[in-house]
Amino acid sequence: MKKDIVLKVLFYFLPAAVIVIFLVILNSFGFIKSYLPAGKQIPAAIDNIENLIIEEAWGEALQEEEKLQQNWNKLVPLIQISTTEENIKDFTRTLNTLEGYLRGKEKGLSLAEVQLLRFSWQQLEN
Amino acid sequence: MLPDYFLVIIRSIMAAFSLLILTRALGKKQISQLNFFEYVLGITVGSIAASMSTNLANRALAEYVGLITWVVLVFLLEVVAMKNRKLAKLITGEPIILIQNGKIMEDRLALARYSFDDLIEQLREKDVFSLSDVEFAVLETDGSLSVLKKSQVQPLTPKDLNINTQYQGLSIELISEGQIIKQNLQQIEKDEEWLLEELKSRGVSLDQVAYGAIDTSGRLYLDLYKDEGIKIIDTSDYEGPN
Repeated sequence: MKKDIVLKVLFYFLPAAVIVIFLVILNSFGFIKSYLPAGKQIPAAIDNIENLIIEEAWGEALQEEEKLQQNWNKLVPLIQISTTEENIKDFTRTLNTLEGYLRGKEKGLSLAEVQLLRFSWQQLEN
Repeated sequence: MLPDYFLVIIRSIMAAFSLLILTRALGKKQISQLNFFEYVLGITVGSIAASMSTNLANRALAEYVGLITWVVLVFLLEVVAMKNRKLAKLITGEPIILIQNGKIMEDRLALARYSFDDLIEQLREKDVFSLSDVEFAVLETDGSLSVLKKSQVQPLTPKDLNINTQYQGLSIELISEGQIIKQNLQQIEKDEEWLLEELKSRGVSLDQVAYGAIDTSGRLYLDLYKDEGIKIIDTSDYEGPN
């Protein structure tokens, strides 16, 4: 009887569990975004950079952008399996463009890049 | 950032194990038993898995969900086909009689988009070289041809001669590569002692036996690792590795 239960677990539950685990891994971005510190900090950092640009505090905005860059670099290996290569490249590209505009103290262009960064962050899930 | 090849390895492992699980869930149909629809579904599932494993431009989750959806769809269609005969006919199609009472049904051939050459070729594959030997030929839903030969050309069986034959069932494997399969021994209500005694009476030990099985009449077949007195025939026609 006990052997039967063990066999049933092996033949039915285990394969189903493997499929569910794979589904969870492939859909892990949502979890990382909501629960991992590196993931949670990114939207907050984007908002912060936007406010600093509006206040034209370029030095602080650059520092915040660097922190965001470091956070992003830590996050990338964790989300690579659950998003596309193109989405990751988009976010990285936007982040680098933003850095250039911050160095050039381009208010309008910086704000546009921040908006694009926000969009790229949302796109990572699609 | 993880290198691409590493991601491909992870995605391939996921795709391979999932395919293994999902195809096992679908059952044990052979390729020859699949109808055209199931065959195409199989190819589709395979190509989704291949894309999931190497196409990093697509999100793996979308392809994984696609893979599961296709397999679940096939599974559901199979269940429906098992429960409902009418739907089964709709899904898998129906066998078509191509030769009836020795006459070729040309309109059925056209319906099945089957040429005379196709028919003759499939008959030859069934060891039929003369159309006059065929009473019925049925094109099955998996594309194979079932042939009923005329009674005059059918092989003689013990039943035709009213000869009684002994029951013949499946042989049960008792030894595999020198190891006793205890589960099968229990099934035939024998024990290891009995088996070892049998081996002793034949002058062999357990580690000499590559394969051993018992048939329904109680005869024990043994194949030893050492094939004494047999000269292996070399079928190769060149001197090199086969």
